[in-house]
Amino acid sequence: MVRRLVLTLLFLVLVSPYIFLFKEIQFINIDFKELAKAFQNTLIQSTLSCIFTIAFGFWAALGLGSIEQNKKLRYFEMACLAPSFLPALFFVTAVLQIVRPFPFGIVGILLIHTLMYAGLVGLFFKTIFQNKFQTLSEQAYLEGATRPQFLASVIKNMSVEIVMIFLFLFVQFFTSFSVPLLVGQQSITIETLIYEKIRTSGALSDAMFISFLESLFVIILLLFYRAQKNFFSRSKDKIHLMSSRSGLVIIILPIVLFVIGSLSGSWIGISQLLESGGQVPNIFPLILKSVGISIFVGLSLMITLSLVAWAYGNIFFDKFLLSYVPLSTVLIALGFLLVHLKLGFMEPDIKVVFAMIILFLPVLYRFEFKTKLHSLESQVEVANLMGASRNLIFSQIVLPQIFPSILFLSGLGAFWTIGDFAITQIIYGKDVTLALYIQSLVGSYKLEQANLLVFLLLFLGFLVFILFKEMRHVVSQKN
Amino acid sequence: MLRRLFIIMTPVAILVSIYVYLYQKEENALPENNLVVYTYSSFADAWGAGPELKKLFKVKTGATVSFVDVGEAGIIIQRVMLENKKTTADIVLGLDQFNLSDSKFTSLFSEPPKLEFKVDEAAPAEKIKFGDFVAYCWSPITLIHRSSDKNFTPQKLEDLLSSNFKDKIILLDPRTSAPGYIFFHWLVQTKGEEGAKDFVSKIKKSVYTVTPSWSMGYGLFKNKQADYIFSYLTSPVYHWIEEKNYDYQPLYLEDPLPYHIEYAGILKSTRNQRLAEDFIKFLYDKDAQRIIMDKNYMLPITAGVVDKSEFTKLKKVALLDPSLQISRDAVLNVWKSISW
Repeated sequence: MVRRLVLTLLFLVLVSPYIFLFKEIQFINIDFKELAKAFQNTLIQSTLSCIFTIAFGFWAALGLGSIEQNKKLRYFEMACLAPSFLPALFFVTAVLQIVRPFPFGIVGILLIHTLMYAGLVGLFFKTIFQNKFQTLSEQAYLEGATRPQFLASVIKNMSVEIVMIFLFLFVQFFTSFSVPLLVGQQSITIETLIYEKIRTSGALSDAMFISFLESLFVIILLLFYRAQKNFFSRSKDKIHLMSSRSGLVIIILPIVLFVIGSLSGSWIGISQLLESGGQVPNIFPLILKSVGISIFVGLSLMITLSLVAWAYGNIFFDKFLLSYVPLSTVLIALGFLLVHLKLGFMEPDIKVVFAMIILFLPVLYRFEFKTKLHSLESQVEVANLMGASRNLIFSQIVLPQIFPSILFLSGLGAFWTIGDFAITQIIYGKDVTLALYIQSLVGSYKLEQANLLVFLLLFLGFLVFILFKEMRHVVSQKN
Repeated sequence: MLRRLFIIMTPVAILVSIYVYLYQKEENALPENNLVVYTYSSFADAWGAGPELKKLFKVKTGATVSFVDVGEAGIIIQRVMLENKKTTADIVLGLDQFNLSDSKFTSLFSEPPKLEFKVDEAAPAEKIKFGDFVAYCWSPITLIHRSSDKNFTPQKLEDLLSSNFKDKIILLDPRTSAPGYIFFHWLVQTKGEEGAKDFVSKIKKSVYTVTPSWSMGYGLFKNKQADYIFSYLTSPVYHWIEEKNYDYQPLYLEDPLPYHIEYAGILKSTRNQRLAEDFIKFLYDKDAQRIIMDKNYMLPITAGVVDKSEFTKLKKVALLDPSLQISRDAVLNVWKSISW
């Protein structure tokens, strides 16, 4: 009964923007020709992005396989994850500073998606190599198989995993908004069409309907998705025949592009600040608010993920969370503006927290949480058969094993929150966070100072992320 | 484990408390007799005209005004329409002539007060009152370049089709950017829809890229990724004043130039009609106009404001009154006809 209530509440929170905006739906007037074109473009860019990301991700995994020192491997694993965690705007802006002329259009979308996600896919593949081909590689190595021969048979035997990674990436790319908008030239995708409906045509009903169709498509697609066990293995054993130092380039390149790209603009920012005679604005309250709200979101995500883990096992909710695509950020924020919670000065913060949970929970669930919960199913089943209660199973079996993952994902949510300037702008209505202040600088010709502050923002985000991630060390120590 | 959690959560709780305190302090500072103005980000933010105008309004009238950063014009319209009578806004500020075509939206506004001021001779006087809205700043739109690039200087729009401009121009997406929309509208107005489609099919080889926002396009231009950007005629003034860099210059084409004009309006639902009217009148005060000009880098509406400023270095240009008979669909059709 309590479990059903928890799941219903979580479901209602996630679909609440639809509920808030439902009464605003009026006449829906969709141009299906335009929608078909956007669908076709989205399909092409997503499919090609998946193919390239998987190909380069495989290469990156071979690069990871070539590292023998554990410490070095840890750094490279972090480098694999970093680009996919960065807000797309920062990454794209940095790459544009370096890659000249930049190939705008579909090639640009493919390039950015591949740079951002190849490392992450590399980590997925590395784990699959270790889980599936460790023993086989040793035998093949001893029997004198060549690397091309062995890799060909590996790819053949990995078809299911490749399809699952493809589906995971496809949803990411299909619902990608910032990258097609920033570098896609005038190629209209589903997400940019939704934005156009809100921004240019003022057709809120059309935007919501297209968003609903998009969700429906993803739901149907993800009916075929099943989580893999242990996508993030911590095994450090070297795998024979599955290593290539050249693959490290795929991991290092996005980081180098980001750092150099961001720094190149920042130097001018520093000199401009120095020339301005020390007219440095007081950004301390902005920093405090940014850190405060991101911690608030992180803690809320911690509670929400714990609730999801506690109530895990309902097929409908599981499929819903796996496939749910939230409304666009603008619609979510506008939906929350229509609701008056009468919470006084805390109301905007509470709204931001709920909006962020709606945005991040499905992504975090698909990204790692489902996999972790799935890997515990057999243990939970045994405990169930032995008559343990849900609370006992949760506190003694699930939570101790899943808590590092909860902290990691909550930290990730907090990191994304600190860089947000879509939800926070509409809900707060003034520059109360550092990200909003940076956006204002960009809109006021002060692009170099903005570049400089992006580093501070990323540093703060990193600190908050580490705060959550490292909490597990403190919590896991015995008193 | 609980003790450890408590140790971790204590500093977090302290941090959250400080920030809550700061927030509360700010909220408590808001007076009851306050005018709320919905506007766009760069107007409301610390670098924009909003904070200075707020101070000046307080000095001149004793009343206060709060600028709410709603984002951009499209979102301002959506928000006002969604909130309808429940809105806390008294005034909406920052819409252009193309935003004011939806009668459902414009019907939410009331007649502005009678304004008495001398109009700047360069400003499009006939466009200052637009339905229930009044203009408070404006700027022609043209191509901006760096004179040190020593490029071929176009005399008219057609010159941009020359091979001298291959991959040199940054255009802005008309769906998401006001100057971008004005460029495509300009083409439709001067060449007709089919003529505009023909023109863009030819100009595309001159286009380096099309960006979704003015800020991103201007960033690429400043980064020297392209030599020209379609922007405000007044954009170079920022570089002249802030960077003492006169390399940035507008192109004075022979063609009459389209212009961007920003409007403000009083919502019918305002609970403070008199104060709202005072604020609208205040926008034409010379000091207020100077703040808008200096912070927004836009031209004033009131006469005598540009005197002795860097803005006097801008040459007077022939203006093309944007025709509002041209439908949004016609403009966007031209945009959609481009195949890169």
